[in-house]
Amino acid sequence: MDFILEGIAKAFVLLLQGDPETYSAVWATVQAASMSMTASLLVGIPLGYLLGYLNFPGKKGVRTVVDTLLSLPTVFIGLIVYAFISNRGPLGEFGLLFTLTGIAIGQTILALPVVIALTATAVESLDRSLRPTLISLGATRMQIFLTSVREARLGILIAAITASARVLTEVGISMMVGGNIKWHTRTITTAIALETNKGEFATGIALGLVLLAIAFVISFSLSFLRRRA
Amino acid sequence: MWPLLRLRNVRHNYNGRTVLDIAELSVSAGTITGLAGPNGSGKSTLLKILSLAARCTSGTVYLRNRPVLPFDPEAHRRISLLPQEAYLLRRTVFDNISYGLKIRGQKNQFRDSVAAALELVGLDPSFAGRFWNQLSGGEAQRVALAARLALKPDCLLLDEPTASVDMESARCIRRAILLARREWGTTLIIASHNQSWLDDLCDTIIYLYNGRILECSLENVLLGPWLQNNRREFYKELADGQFIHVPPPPHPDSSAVIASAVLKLSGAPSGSSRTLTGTVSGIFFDKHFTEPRIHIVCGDHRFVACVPDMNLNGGDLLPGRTVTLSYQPEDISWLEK
Repeated sequence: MDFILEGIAKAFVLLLQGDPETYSAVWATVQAASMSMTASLLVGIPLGYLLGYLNFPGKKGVRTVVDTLLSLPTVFIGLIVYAFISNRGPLGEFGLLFTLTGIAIGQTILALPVVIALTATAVESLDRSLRPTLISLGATRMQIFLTSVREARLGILIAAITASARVLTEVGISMMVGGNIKWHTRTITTAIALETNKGEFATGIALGLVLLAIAFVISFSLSFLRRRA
Repeated sequence: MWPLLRLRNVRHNYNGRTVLDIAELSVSAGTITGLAGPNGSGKSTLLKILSLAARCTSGTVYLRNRPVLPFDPEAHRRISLLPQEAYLLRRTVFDNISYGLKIRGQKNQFRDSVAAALELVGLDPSFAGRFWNQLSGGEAQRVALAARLALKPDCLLLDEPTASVDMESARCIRRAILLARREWGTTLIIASHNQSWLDDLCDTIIYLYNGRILECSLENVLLGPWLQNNRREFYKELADGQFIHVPPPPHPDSSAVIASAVLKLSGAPSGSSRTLTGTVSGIFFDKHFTEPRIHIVCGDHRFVACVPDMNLNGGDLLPGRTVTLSYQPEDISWLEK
């Protein structure tokens, strides 16, 4: 028990002293997550809207596939992305292996089904009379899309938060695609795994506290935005 | 002068069933047209098609003799629909009313337009700051109407505008739409179950039944099923034990209609006519009819008969009096399934 308490005490020291190794991992995590969340929201919200809004043959099948992808194992995504961006892979020439961009690609694949599925659910639960109301006020198709997204903003916000939580806490993709390279692609989660293996609990706990802080900020933002919405 | 809106050979199917089938319908500019009919008769579908909120399965909608489709940019700026349960955006009243103006690219004068629209529907301009969830049902309906009136549409279609609102809101809605017609010449098309409201407000009333326009009003509709006695006559028994006899129906469940003009108030049957005994429940005078209309309750049915003014003089048709209705079974027509 003592070593845990010691680890927590040391963690605060590391964070307060601005330990460069710790903050490098935090910065790498923020960079990769920002890229992946931007991509997954830009692609996922329109796709989720279409999935929730349109009725087309095979919709149930598409929905089942998307729901299945919600539980994709991160190591499996890491494996597939690794195979594609390694030197022997079809995207090998772009030199994405062991880069933050490579990690972001994997994390986008991880977050995309979450954004699509939860956005589709949010759009499906919109009031049926929204569309005729907007048409009756003279809205074009694009204006209907933008207004519907705004009306479903709380559900889409929850989709974004859930996806970012999944991205921030994943280890498999960062480890396999990023390679856990110090000062470069070492993220919070891969650093925790490494430091724990080395017996460096203080750094591990410090990074864990940063993750908790990020989770708190996200949760606080969500409740604030929910009140506003 | 072309009619403002015209439907030609319009048919609309839903789940493989025809819910609307109209060969021809014209609505003149500046008029008030009422749509009457029971639930499922196609009133809301017709409003959606006329307002271009839905595309009909086949047929053509004309706006001033120009064929138009949903999302026609010009048509959408001229026509607006107020649905039965109007949806308010999850924003303030101000944002809801200014939404249509914003998407039309108007950048200024929102505040004045919103305040004027609110006043038109009898709401104080201070309502503009309220959120959608701070309104009562009647206030929400009036805000939704204000959002449409702010656009000054050429044609405003209203689906049961007073069905779920209080009397004060109903009065404000009526005043606002009449003002819109007077000020801007807005054509009004109103679907309602409230026959007396329509009678009072409308220049023309269109009666719908099973998606088709009827040539007569929807009074005196007799729903099936029909039974057959051992003389092979078809009949229906009323709650008070009287029988209504009809000619052979096209289907045992068909609905029959007796035009109010062919119901006679007389003492005794003559020739092949049949009679029913009932109690007068009211006398109504209506601008659409030259003669007063007498409401007579027979068992669980209410019949309407037209009588010349002079027949009222004797007092025999005052409410509460017992009268005899006579009709010729051949005058009964059948509504198409």
